[in-house]
Amino acid sequence: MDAFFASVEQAANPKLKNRPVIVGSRTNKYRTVVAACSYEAKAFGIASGMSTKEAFRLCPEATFVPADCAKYIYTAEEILRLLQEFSPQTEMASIDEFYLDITGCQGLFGSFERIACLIKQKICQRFGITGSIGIAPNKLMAKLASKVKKPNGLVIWEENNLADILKNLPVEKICGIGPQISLKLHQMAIFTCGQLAQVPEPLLLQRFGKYGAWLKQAARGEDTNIVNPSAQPDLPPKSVGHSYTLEKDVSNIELIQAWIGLLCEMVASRLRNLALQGSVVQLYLRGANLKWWSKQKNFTDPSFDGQCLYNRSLMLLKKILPQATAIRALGITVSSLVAANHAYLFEQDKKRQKLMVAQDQINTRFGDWVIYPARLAVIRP
Amino acid sequence: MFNPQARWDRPSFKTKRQQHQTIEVVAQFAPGKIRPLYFKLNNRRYEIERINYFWNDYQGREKLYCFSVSNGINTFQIYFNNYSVSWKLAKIE
Repeated sequence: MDAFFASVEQAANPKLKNRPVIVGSRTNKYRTVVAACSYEAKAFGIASGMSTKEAFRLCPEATFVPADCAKYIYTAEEILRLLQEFSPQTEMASIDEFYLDITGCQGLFGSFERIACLIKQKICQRFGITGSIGIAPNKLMAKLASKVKKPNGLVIWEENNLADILKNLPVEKICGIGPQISLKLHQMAIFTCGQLAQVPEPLLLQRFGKYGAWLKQAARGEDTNIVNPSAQPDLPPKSVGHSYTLEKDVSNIELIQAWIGLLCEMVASRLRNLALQGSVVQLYLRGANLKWWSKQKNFTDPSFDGQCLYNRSLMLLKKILPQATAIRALGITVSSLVAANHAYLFEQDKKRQKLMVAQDQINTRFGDWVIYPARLAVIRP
Repeated sequence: MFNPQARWDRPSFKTKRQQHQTIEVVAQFAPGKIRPLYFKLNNRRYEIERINYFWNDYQGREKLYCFSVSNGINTFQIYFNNYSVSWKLAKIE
């Protein structure tokens, strides 16, 4: 989808149409990053990931809209449903990227071009937003083709033309070749996919390991990944974390502790949802001067209890706090995750477990944060 | 496959929905469809000229049918709560 979050906001509010719009993740427009921006904002040099402070320097008249995730999730799921009407082989690669295997669908809907036009038309009619479509023999090339013409583009690449298309294409354009790899390739005097395709595979294997074989394939426009319509995630997460940039810098220790407590509860709740628990706790703090501190510790027993994670985080906070004064942002990450499927031996642990289950049930039934530990009351709205 | 719920639907610091103003709405209910036609706010009737956008949200077990609607002058965000069977005004833009 083209500038997905910003396009949805423009569709929802006609006053935002044809105007530079910045969607940020927090309510304070000067202390967040650009999650998405409209094409009108992109014209000023604004890009996703940029700090909003920088974005407003580039375009002071831009309109800031706090992200409304429910709106984007609903739209993405509806788009997925709409695409599934064209092919059951539909994969949701991210909240705004989808792959469809339309092999054999021509009999039902006509040529590939017609299928793409129908999809674009239906999305535009239903949501008032646009998407760019790339049609190619495999997922890697289709993604590349979709990026060639934006917004509202349609690019079709056929197998017999791929070599010509890739011949002069810069290697960094291929999805999966990041800045580090492209720098290494540039140092080897390889700048285009055509040049990369000519390099002997043993040399690439020697320089890049197994990844070298993939580089060779990608440069030739080959990709063995198939469209995966399974709703199951490929792998369980390796870590679960939350971070938050505060509305204003905070130096009051009780408030800092309360924010840590809130993040611990959020992490713990997600861990319990995933039936996982973790033994490594990492605390991250960013000061008012943007200097940051991070401490982590491996505790012997894994946990998904917010209170336990909070106590562990406070131990880490004691080590950081003498260096930090006013805090701008903070984060908690729990890693070394294992399945949470053991029974509790001691009565007090069993009681805590029951309390957590009750807390989760109440919040699931009545909404997030209907019930929370009293220590968080100072920061709840 | 990417799961948007897992990635994006995290507990957030949403404005308390209790603060939203209850409004009277005349709406057309058809199977699988709700179409708000007009609403009353501070004793004034607002005709809905256009539904700009529609989406669903959840608050625990309660499903919220959210609408961004325009009366030709302003844009309003209203929602219908299927549990309390009530309409609320979330914001005026």
